Amino acid sequence: MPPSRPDANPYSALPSRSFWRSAVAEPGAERISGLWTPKFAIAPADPVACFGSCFAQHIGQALQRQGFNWLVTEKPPRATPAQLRRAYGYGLFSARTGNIYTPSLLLQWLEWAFEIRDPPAEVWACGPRLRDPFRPQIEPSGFASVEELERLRALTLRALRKCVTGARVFVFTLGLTERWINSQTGHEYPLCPGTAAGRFDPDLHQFAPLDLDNTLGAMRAALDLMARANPDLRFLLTVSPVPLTATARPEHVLTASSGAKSVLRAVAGHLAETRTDTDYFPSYELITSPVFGGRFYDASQRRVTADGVRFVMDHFFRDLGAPSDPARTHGRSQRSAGPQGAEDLVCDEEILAAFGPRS
Amino acid sequence: MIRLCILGNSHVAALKTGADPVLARNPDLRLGFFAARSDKTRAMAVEGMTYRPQTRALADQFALTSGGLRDINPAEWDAYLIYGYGSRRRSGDFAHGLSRDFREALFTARLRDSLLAQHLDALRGLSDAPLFAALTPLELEGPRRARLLAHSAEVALAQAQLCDGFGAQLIAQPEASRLRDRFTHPEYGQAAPRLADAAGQRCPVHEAGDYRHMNAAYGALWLRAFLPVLRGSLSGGRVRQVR
Repeated sequence: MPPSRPDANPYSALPSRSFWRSAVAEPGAERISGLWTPKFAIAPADPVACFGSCFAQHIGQALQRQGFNWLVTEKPPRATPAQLRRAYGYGLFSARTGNIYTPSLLLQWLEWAFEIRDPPAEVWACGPRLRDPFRPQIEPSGFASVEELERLRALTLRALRKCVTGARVFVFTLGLTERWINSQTGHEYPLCPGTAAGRFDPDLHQFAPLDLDNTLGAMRAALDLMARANPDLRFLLTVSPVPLTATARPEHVLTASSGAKSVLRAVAGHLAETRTDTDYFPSYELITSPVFGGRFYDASQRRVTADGVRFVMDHFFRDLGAPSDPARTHGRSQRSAGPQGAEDLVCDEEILAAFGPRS
Repeated sequence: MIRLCILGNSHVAALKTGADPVLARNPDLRLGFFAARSDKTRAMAVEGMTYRPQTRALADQFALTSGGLRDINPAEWDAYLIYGYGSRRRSGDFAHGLSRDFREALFTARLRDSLLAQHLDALRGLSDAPLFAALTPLELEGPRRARLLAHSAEVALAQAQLCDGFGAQLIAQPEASRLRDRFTHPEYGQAAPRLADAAGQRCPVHEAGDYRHMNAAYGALWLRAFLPVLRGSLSGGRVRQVR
């Protein structure tokens, strides 16, 4: 072994991306590159399932625009207008689960899909119609009957199962750690009862935020369950850069948001470091880093703009080795062909803003 | 004399070919047919006091089906029937796994985007005369021909969501022609006539495998069921449809 140079140290041979000056400060925000080194390839033909918080909606749609195989296992009739698809939760995620904000909610859906547990019989009356407590906004007017609600939820569970068994890559965007559960049954709701639908019962509905340990535990359990069902499945975790709409913690929403995202980012990073089947894509950093000066948020300082989404997805495809096709993403109008802005997403959690003080 | 203007697509051929026995029993009835295949009547616009084709080809087509008239002049008609639009089943439609609410919303969205909506708007803008509409005939039964809704549900929705807004009455397909409220009895699909085409006529009847177009017997059945409603509307009252 040749003797090392007298000035050699572990940093002296590192690539330029390892140093802030050469990787961030010098190229400038727009030219930063190489944030992601994919752990596994995603070929255009590989079926990719996408679930998670509302930011996850961008990924599936971008994959589709780019000619990748976004796996959607629950579809409406072909000739359904786009607005109607969105309103009824079709094509937002790979199946009609609605937003899945927490790892524990994903685990709950998976346990139902693989018949490890049964969904509870709980339904919420809303006038003459019924709401599914576990996807309360999936039908804009609610369901006509318990039979219809349960039959259609069973189809969604079957579609989710197909995603797990049929996908090559399962993308999950972690969004929140705050959650509400039924204290008697332990079931988790995607939204606090009494907000989008249902009636809040302080004796029954309990605020049960996830801490670092049980976020990690739930996410790991969800990945393990899916890996058992499909050993070839690969997982790509992302963290939503969208701050909390509201917090039920006794603290400021900004610190609550920072705390939640820190937990989710730590969990995603830890799982990517410790599991060979799991990778992390830094959409969170690409939007939230101080380098970008908040330019990818709209006036609400919360919603990500279409430019922000495009920036994230351009990095995604470039790092994956599938450069953006300008003709495909920018050749037609942004509205029809390019990434959507936040206004086009379906984000159940945003209903919470309606309960805040009026400015 | 009752002068009825019928505006529609290829399905009008069944009414046209079934009209003779009906007209023989109703000598005070005059029918004017303004028909063109598929969605070709989209190329129409209100100009002054007429509803007029915007292409020479469509005007020629109307001249052929009406016996010389090239546009719809409200002074020449006592009532209007828009026929054959609004509920065409689309390839890939299915009903299983969709909520009733979604199926109704999808049907309504398509209806509002259909030529039925365009023609109702145009004709009501030109005339206060009785205005009627009939949806696309139900298809013959066959595999992969699931409908989003039963016909009676389609009629109720179309009446409430579209026709009421124009003071128009939606006429249901005669009950005797309906099979389980989702298909047309097969006897009405045999030897269905093609709509005469100014651009050149092919075989005068649809091929044997056609399951969308109905025959002269159907047209006669439809007109006989409709006439009491038409007469009632012109005598000042709204007559309940005979089913």
